[in-house]
Amino acid sequence: MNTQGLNITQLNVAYGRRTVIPSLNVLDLQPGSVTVVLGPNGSGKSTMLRALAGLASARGCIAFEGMELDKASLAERAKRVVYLPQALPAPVHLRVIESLLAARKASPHSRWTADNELPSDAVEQGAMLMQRLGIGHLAMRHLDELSGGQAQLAGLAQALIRQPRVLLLDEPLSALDLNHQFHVMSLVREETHRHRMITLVVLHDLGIALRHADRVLVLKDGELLADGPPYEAVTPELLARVYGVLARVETCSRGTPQVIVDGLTA
Amino acid sequence: MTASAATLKQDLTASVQARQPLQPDPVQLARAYKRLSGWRLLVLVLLGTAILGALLTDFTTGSSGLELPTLLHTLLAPDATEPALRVIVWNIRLPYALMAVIVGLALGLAGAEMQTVLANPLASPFTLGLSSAAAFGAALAIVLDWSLPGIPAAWAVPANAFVFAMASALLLDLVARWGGMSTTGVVLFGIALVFSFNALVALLQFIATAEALQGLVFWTMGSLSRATWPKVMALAMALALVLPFSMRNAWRLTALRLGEDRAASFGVDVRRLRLGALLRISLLAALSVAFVGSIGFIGLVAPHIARRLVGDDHRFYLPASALTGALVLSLASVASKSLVPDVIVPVGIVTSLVGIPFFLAIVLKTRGRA
Repeated sequence: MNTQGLNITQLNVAYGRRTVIPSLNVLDLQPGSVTVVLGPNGSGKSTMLRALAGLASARGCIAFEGMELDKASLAERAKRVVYLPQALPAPVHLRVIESLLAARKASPHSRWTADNELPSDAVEQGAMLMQRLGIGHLAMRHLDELSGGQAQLAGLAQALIRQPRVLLLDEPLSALDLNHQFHVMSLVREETHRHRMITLVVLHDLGIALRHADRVLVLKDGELLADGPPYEAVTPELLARVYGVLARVETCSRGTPQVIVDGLTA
Repeated sequence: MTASAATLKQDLTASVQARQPLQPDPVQLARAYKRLSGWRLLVLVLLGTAILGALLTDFTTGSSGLELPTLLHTLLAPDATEPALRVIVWNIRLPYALMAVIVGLALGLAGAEMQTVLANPLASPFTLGLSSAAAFGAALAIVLDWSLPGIPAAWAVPANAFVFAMASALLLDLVARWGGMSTTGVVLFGIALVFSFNALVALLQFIATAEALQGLVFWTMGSLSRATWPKVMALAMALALVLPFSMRNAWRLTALRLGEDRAASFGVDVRRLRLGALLRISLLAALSVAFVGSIGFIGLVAPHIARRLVGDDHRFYLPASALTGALVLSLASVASKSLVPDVIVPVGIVTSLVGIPFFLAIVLKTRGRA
């Protein structure tokens, strides 16, 4: 087992008597990589992310850089792991820059080890991060005035200001138009590479997954059905089994793989 | 990835970047934010000044028709004035006016924290039944002499008020979190608590002796007329005890405003934060009710005004809400003496009359969002 990355072994998550994830093993999630988690509704994708963040009680082992995260306190875990829920940040009367400060100062946070580009002043640091995400002009706007796409980017900035080592994004594109979907995923990739984060993203869009992921996990009923590079993991057989659709995975004229759905399986 | 796919990605990234608005300089932005923080501090100072003005007006308003210079002279040199005047100024006017300010501070702070931890713009100790529960606890001590074991008789009323306020706060928390209820559901549950405890207080009124009944009426109306120095000091001490804890949690409470999961992911122990806040709210609400009866709407109105003035950053919002509560209650106290000549209307009646239109405005504004 590689102690540099994130290793999940025998993860078991249940809500009361209902088991959502019976026993999940995902090994060697590497720093600087984006892993997309796919699967139909109710397959345990969000539950998996919540368990990794310590928001859902789970059994098993979650090891990160030699530390057993499952045994760490919420504050210790939050120093390294940040989870961005599916819902947009609540539309409160708070300026975007203040929401970043609240995210940063709510509890002690980690530091990106190789990062010495950020100023020591928290406000300047937040402003610089927002500038990098292209939302510097929104810094003094209130969260309750933002559009869905802007709020999603503000949410991403709230997560990144904590300088996480592991970033968990639960359907970050669900409220976004096509342009913002691409923009957000590009930024996620860029920040992941820049800061050597381990990023897990729950998505429904197979096209975006194929384009942006380094690795794909496919879940159904809490079980891992595929794990690997996107072009290898996402196959017509798998799509039929997981989603019940007849689909092809074809490469377009510009070399990008596309999923084309022809219909439903019988 | 093939070369053409990489080209497409570059094209799209370039088009996205071309659409981005001009980004301000981070140093300039930090300066603008510091200016904003300075402005908010000024708002707090202005609120404090306005409270001083209201306090002075409250102090000089009353049926005995005393002039400001006389009052100030009595206040500054009590030994040089006649005993009757000294009693009026020191034992009646001053505790009365100060009690309005301190109860206002307590209810403003309690309301602000309650709206944050229950994520509900309609939450306040009065609207969600904490005040009614505290009044019922107090009524139990007055009418039935029932108190908790080991509590001295002199503290039976506030102790009972606290226990019942805390129990109803925990019940609300339970319903809000584990019942999976919406904002509307929590408010409806709170209203059910108000009705239940009011009915129980009415039942105690029904069986109470004439003497006890007189004491009970005081609770239901909410009046500053029984303010005394020990009560003022007790509530001031409770406030001095609670405020540092509230302020210490200001960033966590601000993070909680972004959503419970988000706050937890930022390392906030939401359960502990909420429990601590409910303890503080119960202490402030219970002592306020125990000393001045049930004064409505301050805890609801003050946070909304404060939010408009300084936003949701709890470092400013909490003190602003407390100061706004003090200002509104102090002004209500002046109004309660001025509405009917030679009569002091219980201040709870004034705050309710002012608060109801405000309450309706919030309901109308939040309709469809719950």
